[in-house]
Amino acid sequence: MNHTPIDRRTLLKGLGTVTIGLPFLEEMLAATAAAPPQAGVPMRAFNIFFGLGIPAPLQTEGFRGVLEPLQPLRDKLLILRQVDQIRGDRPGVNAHYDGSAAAFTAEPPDGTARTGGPTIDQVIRSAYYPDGLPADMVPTLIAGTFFRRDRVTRHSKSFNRDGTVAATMQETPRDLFTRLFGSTAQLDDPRGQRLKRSVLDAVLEQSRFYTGSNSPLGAASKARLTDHLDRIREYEQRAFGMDEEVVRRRQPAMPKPSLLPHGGEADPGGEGIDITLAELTAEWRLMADLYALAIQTDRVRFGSLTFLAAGERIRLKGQYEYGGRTLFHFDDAAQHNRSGAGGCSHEWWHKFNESKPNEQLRAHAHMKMREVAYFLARLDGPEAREANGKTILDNTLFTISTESGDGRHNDVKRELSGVFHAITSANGRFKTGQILDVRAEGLDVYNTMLAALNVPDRLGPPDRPMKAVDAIRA
Amino acid sequence: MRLKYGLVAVGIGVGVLMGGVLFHARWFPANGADETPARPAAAPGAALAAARHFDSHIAPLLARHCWECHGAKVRKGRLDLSRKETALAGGKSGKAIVPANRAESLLWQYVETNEMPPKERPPLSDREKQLLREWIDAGAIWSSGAANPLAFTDERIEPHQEFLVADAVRDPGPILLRRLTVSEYVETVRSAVGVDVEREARRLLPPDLRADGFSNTAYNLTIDLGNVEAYAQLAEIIVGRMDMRAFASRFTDSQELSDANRRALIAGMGKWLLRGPLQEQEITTFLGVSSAVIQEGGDFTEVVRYLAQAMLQSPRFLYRIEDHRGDGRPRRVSDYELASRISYILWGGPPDQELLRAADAGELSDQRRLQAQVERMLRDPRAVERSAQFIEEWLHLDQLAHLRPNPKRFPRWNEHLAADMRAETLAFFQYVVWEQKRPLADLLNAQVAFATPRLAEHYGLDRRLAVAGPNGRLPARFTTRVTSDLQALYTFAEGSGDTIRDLSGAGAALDLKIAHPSAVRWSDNGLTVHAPTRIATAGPPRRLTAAIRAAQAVTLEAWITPADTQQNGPARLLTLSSGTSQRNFTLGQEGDKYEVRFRTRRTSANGQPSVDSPRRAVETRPTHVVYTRDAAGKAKLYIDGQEKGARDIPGELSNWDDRHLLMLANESTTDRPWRGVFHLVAVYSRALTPAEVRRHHAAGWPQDQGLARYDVSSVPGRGGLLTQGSVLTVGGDEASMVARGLFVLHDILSSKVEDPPPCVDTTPVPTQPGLTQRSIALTRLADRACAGCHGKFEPLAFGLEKFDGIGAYHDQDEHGNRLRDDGEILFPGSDKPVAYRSSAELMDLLAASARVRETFTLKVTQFALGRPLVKTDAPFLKEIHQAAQEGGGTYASLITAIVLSDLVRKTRTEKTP
Repeated sequence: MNHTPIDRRTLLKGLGTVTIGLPFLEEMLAATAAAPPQAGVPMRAFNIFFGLGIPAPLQTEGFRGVLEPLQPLRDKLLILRQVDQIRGDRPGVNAHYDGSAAAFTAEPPDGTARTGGPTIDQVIRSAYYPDGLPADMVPTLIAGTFFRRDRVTRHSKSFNRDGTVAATMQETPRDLFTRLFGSTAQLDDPRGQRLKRSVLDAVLEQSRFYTGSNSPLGAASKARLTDHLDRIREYEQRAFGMDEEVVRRRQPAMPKPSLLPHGGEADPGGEGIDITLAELTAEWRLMADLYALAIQTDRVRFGSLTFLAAGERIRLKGQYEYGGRTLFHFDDAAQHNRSGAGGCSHEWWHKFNESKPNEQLRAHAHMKMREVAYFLARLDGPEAREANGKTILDNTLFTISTESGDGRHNDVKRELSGVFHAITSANGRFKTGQILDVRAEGLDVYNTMLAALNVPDRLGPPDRPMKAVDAIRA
Repeated sequence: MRLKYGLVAVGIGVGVLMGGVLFHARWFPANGADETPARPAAAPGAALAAARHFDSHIAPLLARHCWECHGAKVRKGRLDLSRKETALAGGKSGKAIVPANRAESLLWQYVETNEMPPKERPPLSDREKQLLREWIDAGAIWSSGAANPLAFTDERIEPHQEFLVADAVRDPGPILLRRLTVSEYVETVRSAVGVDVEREARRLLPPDLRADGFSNTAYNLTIDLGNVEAYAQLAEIIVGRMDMRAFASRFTDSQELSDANRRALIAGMGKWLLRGPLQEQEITTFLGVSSAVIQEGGDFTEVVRYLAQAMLQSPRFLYRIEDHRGDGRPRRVSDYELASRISYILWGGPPDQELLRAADAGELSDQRRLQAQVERMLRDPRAVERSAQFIEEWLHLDQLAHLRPNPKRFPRWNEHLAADMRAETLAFFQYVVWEQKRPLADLLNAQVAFATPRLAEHYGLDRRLAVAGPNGRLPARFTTRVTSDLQALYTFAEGSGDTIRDLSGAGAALDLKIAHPSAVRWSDNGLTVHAPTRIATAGPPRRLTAAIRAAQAVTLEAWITPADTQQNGPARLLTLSSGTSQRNFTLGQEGDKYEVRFRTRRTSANGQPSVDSPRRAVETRPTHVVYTRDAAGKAKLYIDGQEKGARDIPGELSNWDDRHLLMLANESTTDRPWRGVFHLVAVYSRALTPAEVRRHHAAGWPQDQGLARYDVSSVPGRGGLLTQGSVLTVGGDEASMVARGLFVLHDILSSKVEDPPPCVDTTPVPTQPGLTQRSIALTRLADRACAGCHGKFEPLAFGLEKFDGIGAYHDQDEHGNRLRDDGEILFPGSDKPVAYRSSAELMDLLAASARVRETFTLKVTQFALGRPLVKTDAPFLKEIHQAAQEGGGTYASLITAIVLSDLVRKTRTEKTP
């Protein structure tokens, strides 16, 4: 890829509070820039998820309403309204579960940590890289800033063909940084390195046996162990594939530890957490910067990024400003006059009423769009320009969606109808600069996208005839 | 009311457990070698096929599309399609189903024209319509009089294509290799090589996330780079703590590096670490590692070290690998596979030598011998620990540490209270299940509670209700302490005098004499030593010395409160010594750290090098200090249940001096005094496991701070799991009846409800003066649109109304509204509610419920198998449940039935090309 040199200062400025050693960055970016030119841009596909959704009536307001922050990117996006995800309905559970599982799969959940089918990014990955990605790439990168976590499907948004999650969630800047740029290079003496190498060879050999034709394992088990083998190869690359001198020089400073709760602390029994807007956006933007950097440096081509989980519960505080205007003052608990779950922003979705102003919900949804736009914009500047003269945002398939087209849990059809979607051009394959009322199933939208990308596989029941949504194709 | 559904055993999941038995499948094949699929006895083929068709296709269809409005609870148009009789009787509009007459069947007419389901619901697909049409045309044959909607709508037991073979064979379920969970990895390492890497493993390995209620669900035990990196790091840590020569001596007597000896070593090591014999190609692979070491000039020890590293990262170590090849039909698992299955189910760890020996001998195919192994393994402490993992996961006890109730409403809440609640539930479970060996259902109403003083105050428990232990000597809370290999125990409960009695009961008592009684002060909380004195046995404690010397292992345990953080020498807490430089062991305080000296043939006579805690570990508060040293020489120092120091202290104890006295608070030379409070001191002739140390820490000491057992038979509201803070907090700050009721419905009764109907405001309503949670719930229940579902679960929580959001008991809420605990319960599958007058009556109803017993079977089986239950499990579940109930409904009987079932003894296979 003939990568246009990146303005390091711009990148570093964008990295906010991250302190990455300059030699490291220079090395990473120089390596990318020095990579041999390729005929075209690589196939990339990412799912961008935001929690709780945008009620369908608010979507009709276009950029005058909560979609306003997407307006600067309007020429890069195709906004899809009236996308029906009712197929994802699972009786007895609401959209925080089934709608969330349907995002990017168009299938209902198959358990609390498994979807009924793969996500589109993984189908594309399999089609374009049937033998896997190079060992120095992260095959699938799942990251996000979120808190609620009682179901994996709330936050992780890349799933394998068997519906299992495609990678481990990286939920702090440190985790994400380590996954992307960490090194386990062996700094032992040469003898020690050789012995460790022999150990790794034995492990690789055993793994190859159990994934090979003489393996005693069944197909699903073999696939699981193939994942293991791929990770060992990645480990091998990190441990033994780097020049020692490079490793010694490359000692980037890690991002500071996150100040936000993570793990179990982030989800106190589904009752929600207190957080300020500044705290939330500071960490999210750091995650967004790092994820964007991973794409720019070609460390990753497939994956997903989440800004707040499905059914997220936070009690947000802080002044919300946009475009020099103060739009709202978040103070969910006080405005609800409730503590615990009852004081969370989540409740504004339950209280949505078309005939009322819904100003709190609007402010939250607007803020989410602002933050999604922040990430996308990181890949649309001059530093993200690629060999074909377009930006990464232009050349990549970004699918942006959420869990619900309503939030009241009292009408399945309404709740799972009109689920907001937006896609990028994927290097000219899809229209952009429009807002389309597609009036189609998510399954047909996704399958049309796959068809446009020349991916032979389709989502959904094999015997179901596809209803192409040609209106989205360029 | 218990309904007899009479459903066929194949393919109906939970519904099967409701009692219907059309055929009595054989218990286990007599010789353990029968591969013939079990078939219903004397079942007419056509009728059975029709019944199966109904269960597989029609009932799920009706459940999905019809029963929400035309079921047993909601009978719109006076039509109930959930029972054969009512369905054929029809409703207000006439006959819904006329067998073999589609034209006269209103059901078909409405469905065909998409008038039903109503427009806000999706219509039946063409395929579903075809099925319905064909069913009516064929005579509308039902399999039973009634059906449990759950059996046909639960996502896990809906008919999937792969399950259709269940009609022909008894299918032991999906196969997927299982990665060891973090807990299993830690236990496997500990059992296999005697190294405890729990702290490092939990730091380095990505956590296992919960899926479908448990974190050991195989499909979610995925792998990422973080795992691979961690396994490599951990392997290095582990081998760094192993005594390689001692380890290798288990597999070969020689340290020669000849090919033959290396083969023998690899075969032995591999069989032990990888839980079964190696294949030739595996031996060749590991020979390559040993050759590389030799080529680099390495010696025998280094060969063993790198072989161990390679094996610890082998897929065979990290996963439970089985042979899935076959002809597509189920087959018995091999004895080695079975050994691993059993040990991970019962212990969460690998087979021990005895189990591998039994596998070698082919004994596990024999039911009687297998059962004997299971009985043996259930007597092992690992079985208790594994069952504790089950209860922790089922009730999601880890969540307690993260709860953050509104501090203004609940100022009493803090991390310590949360920890007390968690400890209470674990102690309660262990007491009821393991000590009293009562049926699992008794967990719902056992009239016993375990509480710290803090939790007792929170619960409003009268401290006088704390009860003594069964033998009248040990305090009640000692019921959760380890008693095996106990050599000396002092609880300082005498209250006066100059003698401290040894309560261990291990032979001749090793009572201690206080040299200067004026230097001590007795209290309800223990013995305060405020001036120098010597507290010692009258003579050398030869029994104790001999036991430790024989075992080559020890545990020194002390609950103490130091007077300050300066005393040193080390100041003697507990010592078996004769002067300042001659000792067998000394547990002491050196300024602000704890220090333990333990003599072996490879230490100095003074027991050095010592094992030290970090600086600032000593605080002037009650502290639990435990030193363990096992036969392999691994020594650890725990402070308050956490490992704070470790060291290899190798060497035999044959040089121990049996003339030393056992002493507290000073050295025999009286120049190493310690001041502070003794609450408890114990000595064991074995190394307690980390879990046992944690349990002892949770148990506390007799006089005050630990968990005490309370008889709550006279305490309103308390008694049983649902009355414990750990469970009551599921209702959140508002003590939500919806959340609590759904918890009971889902997790205690294994049932579910449908989505709320259209256009209902689902926003929670807050309480206020004149408006309690109950009155809000009653308003919902008065609404026909809500009652259909809310009536199934909210009344389950009525009996808990007096418990607030963090489990405290009140007669009035914060607004002064009077609270009640009476109500009615509608058991799933029944249409007749049962009234209860109090929380205690509700608990009794639950404990007596067949549904609750079935839930335990489902939950424990799911945890044991490490996968969600699927429809094909139904016949096995029925057999397991029946056997468990015949065995008394205890955990032991249930887990035994699971292990002896074909779900564990057989495996599905895949056809090999």
